[in-house]
Amino acid sequence: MYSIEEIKELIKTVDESGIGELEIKNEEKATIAIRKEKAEPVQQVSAPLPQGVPTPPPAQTPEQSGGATSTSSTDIEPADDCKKITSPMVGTFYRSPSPDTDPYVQVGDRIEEASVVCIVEAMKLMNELEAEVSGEITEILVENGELVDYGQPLFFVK
Amino acid sequence: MKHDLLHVLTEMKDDFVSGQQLSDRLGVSRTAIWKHMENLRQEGYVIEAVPRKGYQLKRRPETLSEAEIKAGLPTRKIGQTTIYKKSVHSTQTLAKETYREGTPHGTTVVASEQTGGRGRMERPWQSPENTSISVSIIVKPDISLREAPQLTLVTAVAISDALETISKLPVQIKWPNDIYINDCKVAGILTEMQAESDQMQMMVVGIGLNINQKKEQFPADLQNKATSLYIESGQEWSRTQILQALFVSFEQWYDLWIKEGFTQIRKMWEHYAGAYNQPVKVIQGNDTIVGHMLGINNEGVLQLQDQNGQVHLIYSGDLGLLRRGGHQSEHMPNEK
Repeated sequence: MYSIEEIKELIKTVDESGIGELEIKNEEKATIAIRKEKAEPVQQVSAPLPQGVPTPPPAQTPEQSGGATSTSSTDIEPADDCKKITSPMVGTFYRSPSPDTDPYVQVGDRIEEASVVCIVEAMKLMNELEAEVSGEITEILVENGELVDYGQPLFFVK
Repeated sequence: MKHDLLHVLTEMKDDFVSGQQLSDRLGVSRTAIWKHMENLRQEGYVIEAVPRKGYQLKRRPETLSEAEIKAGLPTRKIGQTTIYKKSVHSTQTLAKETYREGTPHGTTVVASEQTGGRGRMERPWQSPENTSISVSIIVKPDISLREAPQLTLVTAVAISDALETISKLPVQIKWPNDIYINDCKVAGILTEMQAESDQMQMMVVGIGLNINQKKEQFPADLQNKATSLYIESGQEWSRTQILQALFVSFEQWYDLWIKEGFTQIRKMWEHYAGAYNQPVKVIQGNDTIVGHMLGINNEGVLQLQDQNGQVHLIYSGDLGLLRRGGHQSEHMPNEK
């Protein structure tokens, strides 16, 4: 087995290096794989995901496109204008300021950029997270009281 | 009513005034007079009661003021801008409301009494008039959000250092930032932050200190969990002096942290944290982990080793010390 110190050292080395992935196969000890996530901005407002870019719809006949062209392609592709709110740190996710109060937001709520959507707490530091995007909450991805990771998506906003 | 009573007692100066006279003058029963007298005593007024003579005001509690706090305060930033309120709902809320972009680093909000003091998750925190200190310190560190939680540990070290230096009492930290003397909580910390994207704007450190409370002044359910410097030392303390010492200590440890990082803070924190060989229980998210503390790592994250030897990193959660027979002492602050 690798000691926790050795593992930490390896993580640190990978972290500070230019490489994205490290795998050591050592029969005596164990196999260890360290994969670096792409550095993400801390509070990510994801732009339309590149892989979600739809291939252009089959060419329509000129007659069909007549008055209907006003329906832009973004309207038909909800995945494209779906924004997410991610956690800026490792900590516990809280949906309300205290156990007795209502959650900051529910699915279906409209939020502004300055709306507080949740608290992430680490070592008793309470971080009231502002949305930094506006729109409608379409999904809450984490349960109240759950431990969340750095960069983990918490909400989908449309 | 309380103020009328104080007014009469002040008027009488060195003379005694009987319960009957007070009752006639203020138009309330003698029982009511007695009750208000007790309230004043709890606030730190020393009132002598002599049979057949009556009451006499011997001493007023030490009053806090902005001028007193700043007089001779040897800090560069911390407390040099101070907003003092006799009574406030919560210094933490006021600090956040007062904050503007130009608010200087180190601005403090101090109150002699909080009517709606709160701990984490809005648990109420008792901060009675004249016997406790409530202070919120606004800081503007140029750090990443990842490092931000360390400030709670820096603050715990600063408070411990200040209290131990002044009182010579044995001070202990319970992870991450509760301050204990002889197994009872003497101070609590609540830290909040405002950030935009990954840019830290400001952090507000709220500190509640129990100074001159007597045991019976704590609600019954807190009497064996909470303590004050008075209870532990048997003497009254100047709140101004303690506040100044706290500001000096906070500035020293905060500046060290910003300049040199977490290493020194970690050493000092571990020095105060003791209890390493005691089993603890941590509830993190939906998991409960029982094990031994190995210490904190260079980011301030608690390392806990369970019975199977596995090491868990604890970022968040409530920690309880397990005592003989597996009884867990649920140390809550002045929280109910």
